[in-house]
Amino acid sequence: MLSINDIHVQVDDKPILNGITLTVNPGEVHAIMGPNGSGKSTLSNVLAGRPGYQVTAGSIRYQGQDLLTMKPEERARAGLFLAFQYPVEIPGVSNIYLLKAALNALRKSRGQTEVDAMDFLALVKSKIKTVNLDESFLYRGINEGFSGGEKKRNEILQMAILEPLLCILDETDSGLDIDALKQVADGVNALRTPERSFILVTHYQRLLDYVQPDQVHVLAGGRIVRTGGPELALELEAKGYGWIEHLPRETGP
Amino acid sequence: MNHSLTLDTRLHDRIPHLPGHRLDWMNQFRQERLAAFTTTDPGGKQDKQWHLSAAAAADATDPPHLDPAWLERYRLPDVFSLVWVDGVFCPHYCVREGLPAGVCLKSLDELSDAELTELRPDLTQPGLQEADALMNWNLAWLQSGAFLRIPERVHLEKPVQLLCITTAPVGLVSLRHVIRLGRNSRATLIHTQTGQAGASGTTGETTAIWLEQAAVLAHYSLQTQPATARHFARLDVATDTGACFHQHHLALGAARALTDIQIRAADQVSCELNGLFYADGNRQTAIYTRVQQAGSQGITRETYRGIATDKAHGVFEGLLQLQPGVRKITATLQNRNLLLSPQAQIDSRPQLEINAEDVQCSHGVTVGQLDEDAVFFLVSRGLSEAEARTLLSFAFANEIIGKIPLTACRDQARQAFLAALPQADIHQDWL
Repeated sequence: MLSINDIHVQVDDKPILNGITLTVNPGEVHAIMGPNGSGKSTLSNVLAGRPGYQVTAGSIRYQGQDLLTMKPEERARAGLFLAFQYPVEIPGVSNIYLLKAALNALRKSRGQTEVDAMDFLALVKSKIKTVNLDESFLYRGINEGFSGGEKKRNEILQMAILEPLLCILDETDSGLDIDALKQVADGVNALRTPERSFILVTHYQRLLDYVQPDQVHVLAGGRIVRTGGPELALELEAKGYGWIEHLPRETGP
Repeated sequence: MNHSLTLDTRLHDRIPHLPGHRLDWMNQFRQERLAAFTTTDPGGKQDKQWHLSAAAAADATDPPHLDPAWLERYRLPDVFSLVWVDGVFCPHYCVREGLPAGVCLKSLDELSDAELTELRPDLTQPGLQEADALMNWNLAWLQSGAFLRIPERVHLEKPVQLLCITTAPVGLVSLRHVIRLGRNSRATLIHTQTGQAGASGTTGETTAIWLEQAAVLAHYSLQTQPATARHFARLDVATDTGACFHQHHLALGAARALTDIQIRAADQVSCELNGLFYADGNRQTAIYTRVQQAGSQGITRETYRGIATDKAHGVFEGLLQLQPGVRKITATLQNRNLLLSPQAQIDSRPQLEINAEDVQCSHGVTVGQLDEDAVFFLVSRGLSEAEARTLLSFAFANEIIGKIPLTACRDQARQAFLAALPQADIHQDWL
């Protein structure tokens, strides 16, 4: 599904990623862990196509296409979804408008007709229950006045409605209390299918208590320094990140 | 050419067609205002261009014609309404059946000479500030306008809508509205100022509002003149103790638009002003507000937003004056502006003049561009960049439009804003 091949990325001429290679197959859950400044969020943003990141070398293929030549909206329409670390607030446009506009943008790109209003409402009402948000959140401005946990659950709601193929969660667990963390994890687990893949970018191991990854990658200094199974996350939790910084670079799976 | 002599002659020829033409005081008043107009040096809010365009606007001669179906697009459901087309009062389009006893809703043309004379102070007093050039012009050429009087303790359940429509390719429209609410009365007034495509005249409207003790007025003003027209509006509001004036003003149209709002707040007055302008192309739009807190224990909240794109120029100037000795005033003045193109320009000048203690006042201004993080958020959900930018511009305006409590009015305002936006791929039925 996703094949990242030795990408190097700069922001304002400063190297951030220094050769990342990673393959994600359908149905797999990959956790990307690492200390602050290791390049985790940069990787998420490069995959989603955020402006301001210069890929100076390497390639990324997604569903057989050259991801780096695709605009952010084309990536979204091709099933790539980024759950933001800091979801933006957009007062003045309701949450439900965004959900409908986004779903119809995807449907239009696939040659489908606009979703029927009643079907859409039924879909949204069923999905919002899975993230434990009240229906009143649909009619509020996008993330307007939402708590940190509500914003993150709102990201999961968008993910649930849009049913992407590749879900990238950029530190979705940061700033969440244990109840909100479990709700986010429940939302992710409910979306797991043999076709859908996840990249969970996280600083802490605790999200992985609730979402079992297939592989854990440790990022340090803009490169993957260690790859392993779920036990690697536990090891990091026990030892911290200090010991990992000086490990030699792995070539990746 | 002797400019003032030409205008004198024009006014002299015009007077027989204007209200109160048999009244000496009225004719003299008109001449005085014209003299004041010709001797006033244009400056400040009204530059020379305004002056010239007002003086050059010919009096409309053709009888107005309006497609009634077009009118109904702007008339809100379940309202009392007065209609002017190109400044000419059209009684056949008005709706006044069922007005409560004692409520007077008439055009100035319908008033007898005795009634006009009774109304003389309301018609001739300029308001809080001396009449400026355009107001003098408006008063000299005064051709019609509304008179609404609500007796004390009467709550007018249905809103009153004043529909001022321009259709003529040239011409001058000069209206003055007089609104008086008695003690403990309540009303909703909607002022719709619009025009058909191609209307290119100059419209000047002045409105004088008196709110007696504890009277409550909700005032909605929606200006959607075509981009070929000029529109000047001045609103003077005088309040008595405990009155409440809440206004929502949207200036979305006209090649040049100027709105001047002057309010004098007495003790315990609640004054809330919400406004929005949108300017595109080469259009110029300005909103000026001046709230004079002359009494204590009052609340004033001003929230204005502006959007300018292409080569348009917007101005917001808000002045909050707290007179010496007033106490326990809470006053805020917020102005946020959005520039959508590098050539667009917005000038924002909020001013607080505080000559009092024991008051809470604040103001804040921003002039910026769309938040690129928000643009990326929306495109990452599948919207195109153009759709994302349009949606964010709409969101910015909709925060003001969404404050309008009257549903039909809010929907009309939203529709008008969406019509003004280019590439408005916003689905109103999803909102």
